[in-house]
Amino acid sequence: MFLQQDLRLTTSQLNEYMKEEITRNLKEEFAKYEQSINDAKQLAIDSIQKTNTAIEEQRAQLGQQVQQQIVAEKQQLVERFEQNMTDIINHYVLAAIGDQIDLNDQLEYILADLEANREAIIQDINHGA
Amino acid sequence: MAPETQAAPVLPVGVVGMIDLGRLIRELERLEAKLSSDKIRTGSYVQLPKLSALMDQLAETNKLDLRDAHARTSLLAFLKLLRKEAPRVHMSFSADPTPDFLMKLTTWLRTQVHPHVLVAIGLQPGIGAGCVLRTTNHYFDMSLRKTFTEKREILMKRLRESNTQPTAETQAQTVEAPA
Repeated sequence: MFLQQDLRLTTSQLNEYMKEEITRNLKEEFAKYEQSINDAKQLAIDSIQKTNTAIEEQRAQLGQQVQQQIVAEKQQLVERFEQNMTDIINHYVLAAIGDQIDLNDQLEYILADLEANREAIIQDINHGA
Repeated sequence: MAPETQAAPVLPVGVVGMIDLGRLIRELERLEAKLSSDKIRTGSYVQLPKLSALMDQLAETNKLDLRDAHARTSLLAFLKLLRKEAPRVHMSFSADPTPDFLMKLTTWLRTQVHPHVLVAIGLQPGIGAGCVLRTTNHYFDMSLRKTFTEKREILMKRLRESNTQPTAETQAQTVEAPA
């Protein structure tokens, strides 16, 4: 009878002990698991933030490059326009009033130009002859 | 060597270039051949055939009687010498010049440059207004395009000024716009 009681007591104590141990171990394991999840989450957040930062930097850089290219191209167009200004205006004048400029109306202008170059023309003709 | 200018026959302004000169030479040679052959056949004075306006002009300007063989021979020699030795210029215009225009131009060239200068006319629509003159060794660009090139700085200056200072008109438009 005492032995049975003793056995029951021992079993009960053993159960208690096991219960405590298991609970304690489980708690520890769950705590570790939770910590590792948090760590992984933090890593992911850090990584995403770094990626965002890199994208922002690249976007800013690209925007700057595009802006510079636009400015350079605009400058190039302006320079080309300035270089060819006389051809552009000549073409415009011809297109606008080319049909209306009679050669007879130009005679005075042509003779004035010939007069301005007269000496050079005479010199060249005499040397050529 | 250019033909002697002092005692040389006068070239009328109707004779502009080599084409006219060639035409005159051929006509004179045909006239010479015809008159010579008619004289041989008939043995007497033969009437002068109808001459071109240019030939008439040439004879009248130089007071020559083309019935005279000596006059014809001298004239022919002179024309051939011109064809070989006369100074030539080439002028290009944006359109075909009228005969009146050519006459005035040739008059100026014969009085100011050389009394026997021959002019070849070319067409260059791209020059717009003005002309381009080419001599033996030189190229004179007297076109509107060249004038624009020479005055380019003035144009650029005006363009820059108009860019920096808005005009009164645009300012008035800006004021009216909000209403």
